[in-house]
Amino acid sequence: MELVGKSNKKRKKIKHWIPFYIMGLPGMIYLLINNYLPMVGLQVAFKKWDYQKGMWFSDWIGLKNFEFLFKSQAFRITRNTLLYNLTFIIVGAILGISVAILVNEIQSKQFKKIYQTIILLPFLMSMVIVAYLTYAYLSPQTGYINNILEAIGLNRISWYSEKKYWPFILVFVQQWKTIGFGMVIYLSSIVGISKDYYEAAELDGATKWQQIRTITLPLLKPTIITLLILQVGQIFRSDFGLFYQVPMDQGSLYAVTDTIDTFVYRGLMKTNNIGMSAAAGFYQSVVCFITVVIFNGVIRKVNKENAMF
Amino acid sequence: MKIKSIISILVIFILVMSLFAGCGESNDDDKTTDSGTTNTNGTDNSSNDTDAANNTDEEAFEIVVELVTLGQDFTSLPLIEEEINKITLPEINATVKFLPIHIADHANKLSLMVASGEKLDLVMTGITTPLVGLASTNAIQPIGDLLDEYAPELVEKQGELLEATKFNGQVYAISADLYPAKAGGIVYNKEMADQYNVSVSERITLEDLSKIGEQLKQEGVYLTTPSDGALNSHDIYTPIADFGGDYAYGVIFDPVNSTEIVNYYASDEFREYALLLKSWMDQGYMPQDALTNGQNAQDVFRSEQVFYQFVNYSPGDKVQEARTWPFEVKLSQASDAILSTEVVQQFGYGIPVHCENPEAVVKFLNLIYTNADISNLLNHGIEGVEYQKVSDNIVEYVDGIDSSNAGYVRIFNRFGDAMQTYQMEPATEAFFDEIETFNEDAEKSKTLGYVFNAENVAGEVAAVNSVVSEYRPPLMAGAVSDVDQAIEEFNEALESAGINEIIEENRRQLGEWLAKQ
Amino acid sequence: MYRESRRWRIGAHIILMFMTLLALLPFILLIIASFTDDQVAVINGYRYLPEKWSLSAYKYIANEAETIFRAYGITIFITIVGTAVNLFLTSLLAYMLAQDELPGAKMFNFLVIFTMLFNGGLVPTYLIYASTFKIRDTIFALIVPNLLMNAFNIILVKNYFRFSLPKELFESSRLDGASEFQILKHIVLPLSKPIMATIGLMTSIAYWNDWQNGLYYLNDTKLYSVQNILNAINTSVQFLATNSVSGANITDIPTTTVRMAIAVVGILPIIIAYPFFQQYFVKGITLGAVKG
Repeated sequence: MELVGKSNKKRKKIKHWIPFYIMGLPGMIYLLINNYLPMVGLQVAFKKWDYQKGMWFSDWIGLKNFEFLFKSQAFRITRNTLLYNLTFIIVGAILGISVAILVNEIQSKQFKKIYQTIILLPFLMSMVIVAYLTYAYLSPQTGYINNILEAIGLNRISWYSEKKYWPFILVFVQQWKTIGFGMVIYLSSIVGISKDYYEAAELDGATKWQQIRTITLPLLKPTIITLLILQVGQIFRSDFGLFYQVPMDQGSLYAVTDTIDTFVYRGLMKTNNIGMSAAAGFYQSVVCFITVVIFNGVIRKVNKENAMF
Repeated sequence: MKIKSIISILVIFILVMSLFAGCGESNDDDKTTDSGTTNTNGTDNSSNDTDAANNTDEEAFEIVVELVTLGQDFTSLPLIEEEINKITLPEINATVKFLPIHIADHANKLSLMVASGEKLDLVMTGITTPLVGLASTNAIQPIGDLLDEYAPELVEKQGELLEATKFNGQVYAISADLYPAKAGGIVYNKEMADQYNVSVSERITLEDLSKIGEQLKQEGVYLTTPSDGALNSHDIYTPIADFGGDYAYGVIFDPVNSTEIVNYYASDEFREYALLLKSWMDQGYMPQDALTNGQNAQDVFRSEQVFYQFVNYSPGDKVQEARTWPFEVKLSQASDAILSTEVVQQFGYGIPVHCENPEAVVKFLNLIYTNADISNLLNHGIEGVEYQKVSDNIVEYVDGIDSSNAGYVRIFNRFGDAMQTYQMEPATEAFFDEIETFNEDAEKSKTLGYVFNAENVAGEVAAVNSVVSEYRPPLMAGAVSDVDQAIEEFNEALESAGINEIIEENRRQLGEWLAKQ
Repeated sequence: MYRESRRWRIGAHIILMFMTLLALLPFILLIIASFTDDQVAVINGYRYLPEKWSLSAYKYIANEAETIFRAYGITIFITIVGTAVNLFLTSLLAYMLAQDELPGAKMFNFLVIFTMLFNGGLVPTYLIYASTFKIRDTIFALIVPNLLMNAFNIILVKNYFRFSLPKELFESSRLDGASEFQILKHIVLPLSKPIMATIGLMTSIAYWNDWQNGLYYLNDTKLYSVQNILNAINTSVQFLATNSVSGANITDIPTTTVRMAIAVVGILPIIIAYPFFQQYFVKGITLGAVKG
């Protein structure tokens, strides 16, 4: 009797899941075609690319394509990439959540709309344009910032030759551009939190600040952690436009603006070496992968539910 | 009801998938109507294998020719193709089809098209796609034998130019310009010169320019701008062979007389040049924030903020520059005319490795350089539509048309034998003798025919290129505070990036090549 | 209590007003710069109050007006279709992944995330789309590669389904005999408007701003999207800035201000479209049904 019961249960279970598999099928097929099939191309990172022989028959050359990534500037570009990304993630989370909460507080629908639209505006601009606009402010001769400095009696600064300002400038510009994105994502989660919770808390005499700490933030946790993991998954990549265009590709700033991506671009720009660019991408992917696995493992220990896998 | 929903999803999914398949079919349908006159879209560029295999004997082979542009849409292309086909069809049983490609995307697109075997039969080699890179990765095929057999007239006209398009002993391209000798020069604003009483000799030196800079400074005009520091090439003022490496592979100073490769950035010449530029900046001959303001040198020159811009100097360039600027200009020569591998390789034509009928393409190349009609069509478009004759061999745009709205403008490609091609105003009939003399007088570099293959040091090259991007622009723009210190740091960084390994490899290969001469 | 609420609101207004200004000022500069005379822009840089106004940048773009109109049409089409299909596929897949008891859920999850980490690269992707599927010079080239689905969206939606929707809802519906498709369509999606609007917005922006697909897969300029057209103009400008090629016929492009005009032309429609999405970020979809 037990056996019959069990096999009944199993069959029921499988039948229960079939609709889900069907639902997921189109999506998985797309991912298969768009993302997994091209992965055979990863082998190019280990080959000497030959157009005649093509991807499958070009000669294997082991790790030779990777060498240029580990030469003299390896430390600098790695450090820059990692530190900037960590800063972007942390500052971005704090600012994004704060702005989302603030916007949520606004009662007037008009103002809500205005704030959301305009704060998102920079996200729509391309980095190239942002670079030109930044120049309008930071230009040594004619820039607005320098004009203001002069007006209040300070010296003009040659922004594009002084390394020390650029970590701040880049973080500022990056946040300026992406804050709308974080705001939108966090807002969509906040909006889903039932008003009842807040009403109950108010009746109990909780201050706004306490409400945020005990209701909003905990309920945002899944979203925050998800975003964290996803962003950590890109930790070895950088926004090319931000690090190449905004500093106007000034050599004197490379020490603080050169990232793995800009280094690869400058190095391979003239020779268009397919194997080496593939190697660079592969290297970044591997590090990102390891980082995500570790990070996800940590999350899993702390808070099993929120781990990604 | 559950089944209904499953079916509806499957149906949608199948529909979507069939659209994919359907589009594959429609491509095949369009392909058969490739008679060459309708070129509304390039769909016949895909899946060419079955087409060519069946048709080489009876139907004409369609040659797809790369046209490197600045992104414009040329409305006259179909007409020009038709006119060309009138000649090529009877003579070599082939038709021609142009494929416009934006120069900034050229390298990338060429790479993708060759990798995926898309139909492309004649490509431009040179500025954006260095010949060595294409040849060493087998993107283009050796054409030496084909040229000898199917393009004997062209081979004769090329003469020793074909030495400079060799790789590993085989010819991979032809020189697109039959008279490619170049000298370094400057183009200056003649109106400004007259206004400020500046006299510029036909042959100018850096000292002359410094003096002019001082004179202009009094008038509040800049001498020149280094723009982003990448344009202030030293070889304008003195011939330098750089093997296509932008000075990163080691150079030969005075390549007409010497074959010694040295590290350019550690040389005295570089140091003196950098010091000179710094003095120019300090004296106020160049605008201060040229490096960062994102303006390109052309704009600055056009807005008449600076006196001169450097150019390549040749009879052809003289004509071209005169046409480009809204004010009167003149050219002065700054260095001797030279015929070197680098100069020859700037503009070449190669045939991708997957072209099915390279014989036809080579025959077409022969036509381009022997048939005046084809050359004129390729260079100027159609008589009466794009251009009109001013004298026997000189032409000008038809009234009402200029380079911004013409149905066709030759932008970056070089076509034909200049001797049998019309030239544009302000060239005169004397032009043809000028260009012949200029090329005959040009001195030959001792390394004409030598090509450096950087494969073995690819990693070092990438690292060195990055270092050069960092340190050179400020030095070339005179924007450093201490030139010697900057040069020292620069060289340290270069050494750790591996520049000496590159130079050693270059010397080794040159030695081998010289031994075989 | 009320006073504290009010203080928060005023504080929020002040901070947000400041941020709005910060976001708006450069944008205004962008618009003004596009209306500046080019020579003046070259000499003085971009100013809020330029010495000389001019429409030359827009005139230059207007030369291509016909192409740009058609490009707008194409861009709108691919944005709408692409976003719709993306939302459709994403919500289906996300719903499947949101079932934590699904056999193999962990594996599928991992497979999705893995796509964000490893990328085959341009050449292999191009080979698949161009050679195997032959989408070159078709409208699919602008819709399918890379934009039709992306792991980021999938994960966000999945999480929303899992954490922001009460489980009781599903159970009671299943007990009532509804199929999973019905549950998804009639219950889950209506309650997921905020996340759908978010993903929809992000996807629309991605489609609108994409220039890569057109660059690699299109040679037929009739299929160009707005970004492709603008990108072509922009790359000409940028190319000339870093290369001097003699013997080339280069026309009079008002480069400095044209870049700004291009940016304005490219951004404007999205700004207009955004409020459309914004209405879904509404608060308090009553979950009374559950509470009861």
